Amino acid sequence: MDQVFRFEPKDRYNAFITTRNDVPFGEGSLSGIPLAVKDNISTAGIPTTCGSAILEGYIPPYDAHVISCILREGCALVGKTNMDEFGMGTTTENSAFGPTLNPADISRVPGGSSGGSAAAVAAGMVPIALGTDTGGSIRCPSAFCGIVGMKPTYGRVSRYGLVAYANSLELIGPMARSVQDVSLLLKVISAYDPRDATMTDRPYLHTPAAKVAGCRIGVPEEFFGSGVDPKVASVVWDAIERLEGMGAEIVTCRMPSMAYALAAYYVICMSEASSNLARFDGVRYGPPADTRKTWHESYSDRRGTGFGAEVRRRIMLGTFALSSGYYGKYYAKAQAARQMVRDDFQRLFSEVDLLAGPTMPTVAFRLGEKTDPLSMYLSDILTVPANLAGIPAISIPCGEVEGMPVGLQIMGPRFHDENVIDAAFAYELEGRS
Amino acid sequence: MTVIIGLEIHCQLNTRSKMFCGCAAGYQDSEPNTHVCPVCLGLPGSLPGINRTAVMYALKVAKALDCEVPPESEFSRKNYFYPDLPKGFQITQYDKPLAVRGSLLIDGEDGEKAVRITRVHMEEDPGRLVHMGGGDRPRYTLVDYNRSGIPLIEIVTEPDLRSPKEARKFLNKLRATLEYLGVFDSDREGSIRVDANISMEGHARVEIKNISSYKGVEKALTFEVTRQKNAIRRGVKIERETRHFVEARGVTTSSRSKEEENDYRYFPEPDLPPLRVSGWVEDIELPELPDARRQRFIDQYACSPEHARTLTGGIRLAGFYEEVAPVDPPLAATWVADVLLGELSYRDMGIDSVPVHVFRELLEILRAGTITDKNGVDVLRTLLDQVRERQECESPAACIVRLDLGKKAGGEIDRIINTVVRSNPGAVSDVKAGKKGAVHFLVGQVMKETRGRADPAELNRLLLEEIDRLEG
Amino acid sequence: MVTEKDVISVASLADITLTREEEALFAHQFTTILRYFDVLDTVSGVEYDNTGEVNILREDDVQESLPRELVLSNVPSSEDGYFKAPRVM
Repeated sequence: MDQVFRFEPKDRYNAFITTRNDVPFGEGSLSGIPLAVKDNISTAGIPTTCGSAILEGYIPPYDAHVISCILREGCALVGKTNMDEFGMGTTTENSAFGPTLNPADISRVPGGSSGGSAAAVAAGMVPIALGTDTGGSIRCPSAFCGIVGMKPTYGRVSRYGLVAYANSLELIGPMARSVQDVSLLLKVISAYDPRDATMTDRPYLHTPAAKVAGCRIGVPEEFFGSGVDPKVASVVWDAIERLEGMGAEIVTCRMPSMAYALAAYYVICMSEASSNLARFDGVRYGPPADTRKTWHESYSDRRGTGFGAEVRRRIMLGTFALSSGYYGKYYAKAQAARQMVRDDFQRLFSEVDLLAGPTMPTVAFRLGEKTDPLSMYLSDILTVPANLAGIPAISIPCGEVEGMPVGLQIMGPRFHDENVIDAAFAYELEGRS
Repeated sequence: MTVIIGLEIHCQLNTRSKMFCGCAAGYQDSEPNTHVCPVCLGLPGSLPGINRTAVMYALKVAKALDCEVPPESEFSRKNYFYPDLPKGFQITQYDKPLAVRGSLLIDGEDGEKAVRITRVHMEEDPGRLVHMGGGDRPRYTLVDYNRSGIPLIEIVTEPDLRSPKEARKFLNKLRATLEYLGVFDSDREGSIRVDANISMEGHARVEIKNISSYKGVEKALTFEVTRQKNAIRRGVKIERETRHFVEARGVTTSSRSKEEENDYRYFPEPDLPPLRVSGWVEDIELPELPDARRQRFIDQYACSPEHARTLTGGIRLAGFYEEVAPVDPPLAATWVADVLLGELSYRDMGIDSVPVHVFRELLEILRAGTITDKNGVDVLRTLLDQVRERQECESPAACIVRLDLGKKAGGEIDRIINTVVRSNPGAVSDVKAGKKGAVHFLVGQVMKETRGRADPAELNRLLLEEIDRLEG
Repeated sequence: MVTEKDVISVASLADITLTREEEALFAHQFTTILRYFDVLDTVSGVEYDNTGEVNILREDDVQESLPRELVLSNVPSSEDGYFKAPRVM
């Protein structure tokens, strides 16, 4: 690395937690391209906070697998982006470093939890960024900010170095202003990594081809259920009809497990989170433990003050869901419901090639609008099914409602990321022409 | 009152690397925190990768213990918060263990018996804590994560043991089996830790946690048997509780910690897919195990059953015996089992510290009869002391010459006997009068003159002959 | 209905210190959230199927550990190479 990229952003949206000014870069398919990374992906020598006070000052001694991948391809890693603490949120308001603003309307949230990455891309500060998606955290802010974001098939990108929130659901994925850039970045980060035992050695080597004619696209009625803003629904239906105009066959269908998906998702992610977030004890990293107190005093107090309210809520609910006497009612049932979602997708993908619908039920909320946790959770209803089933899903801009971007979500069967990309690419080209 | 004992044994497997990462597992003599990486330090973002050899070793144990191995097992997280657990949970196996329903034969109090094995599962060792500031209230804790992530197997028995001694026998047999399998190094400090459940039939069960030596298990259980029996005799109710063994004092104490009430919130480890081992066990070829070797020692070396049991009790001991046995199998068995082991134990030394060629030479000398048994023991002691002090020793022949411990030639002995008989007329007349003690006195005098280099039994005979000759 | 007492007991199990206000607020919020989760009660006759997942094992090869300066780089003070933690007794 002998070349240097000068990065001097005017970060009016609070998209970044850490920025670098003179950024070295090398040769490769991403040579010299400024790239922003969500702050829950470990970067050697660069602070990695996960948007939390509990990790303040932590500098990882190692790179996440995806970081090694992008650096090997010569990108300029210009900074770490803001996020809901540990990925827990749909607005990027739950950050110890203050909320990120939506570049399309600074009175609104950018969506979450990868809100910093989405805003940085949408504002043109960087052309591409890495986000992470546990229950929609790439697709939601992509939709709200009007960019393209993709959650690849679970197992297609290594999670090594991604600070875990809900291991069985989450993945790192690309965010950009075009489907082609999303595809390029996915190609770079999908290199096989045996350190992630849930990874499959099926790298994405695809070059997008606009291909949607003859494709059967299913539209589950439940994707346009009661919580979906009719204006958003209308914009998305227009987009689906445009796909039909391009030669796709549109098939309406049913997905009954949608009734359970959100509850299953939250029980599982909270349960896993309650265990994942137990390690921040201040012994090995993070603000140091107070050795004047006893171990338990120090630990409880640190968790009381170091974690924000939403993180504590989820840790406590997850702890409860796994506790003796409740495991069967919550965790075990949630896993069964997760299976129903998978079964539904499997059935649907035996009939259609892809599924389509809105990414989010509404456009971006106003800052401070969502105060009740459950109503916030409910806005994830359309994104969580893909995480429960581990299938690929992309959000692409498909229009506006009252000046705010709307996202079209396209999903495919596991390891058919290529087909999802091709359909999105076809839509994107059509939209431009 | 029937004593009911069940054991949970944690053993470190002697793999090269740790259970879930590539850090070297041989940490014993290392500086703290030098065998650690993002995985075993629990750094955010790190992921576990299962060590294939650890799984193979655990399966070997399962097969040797005659367990059923289900086609699929699962790793789970055991959640509790303690500074030795860098992730805030331990990766272990919970409701889908690697192996279930096995057994191990031991020589019980009433003959051979099969102790049922409930399960064998794999897990990771936590780090090591050092409590600083001493006394009842340490000021703070130091943490070394070198041990964090060392592969462990936990072996759980059914409550089939009926006495502390049986528990000890079970552990000895288990240790020998693990050693024979080549999966375990019993010399490693902390390589085995035992939790014991003990109750008097019809009374509440007490768990004794974290006993870290073989002798400790028998001691702790013996203490607990006495304590519980006394309590019952006095009509005091036995509380269901967890107790700790205080090795230094040989007692168990009630632990006030709420550990037993802990809700560990187990759930499947989402970072590790289920472990599928169908067909693996069938492909494992077990080496000769202690029972087979014991029988072979009886057949091949004509060892007594008792000697065979002792000599096969550890793989290195058995190997040592087989190296020295060719000199003279019965003589070797006696000298290894009845003499050498005691001398080693007295010196707190292991069989590994005895040079095989030295011991062979000593056996050859003993077989040639050019040294008495008594002086043979003295030579052995001298050589072992040398080894202990400077890790090497002179040859037995050199030792015998240096200390002049060889058997005296016949002529010299005769001269000494002659002198002794002449200079002790009183004792000689006592012998003639039939006083047995006087013979012993005369033997002692000769032994003193020869500095032990004569055979006492033979001396007895020679002395009586000499006295007879005087009469005639 | 989740009471403040329930919240306190879960907070203790989770080892998280809460303020009095949070205890009340969380009790209210948990009630709503858990009521929503009750939909899972109607799930039956389905079992989680993991047959698609395969194990990936690591060979028993020793890899270099982190240099100790890096191991201890995130703590302000260590003692003789040890990490320092509060007393556990």
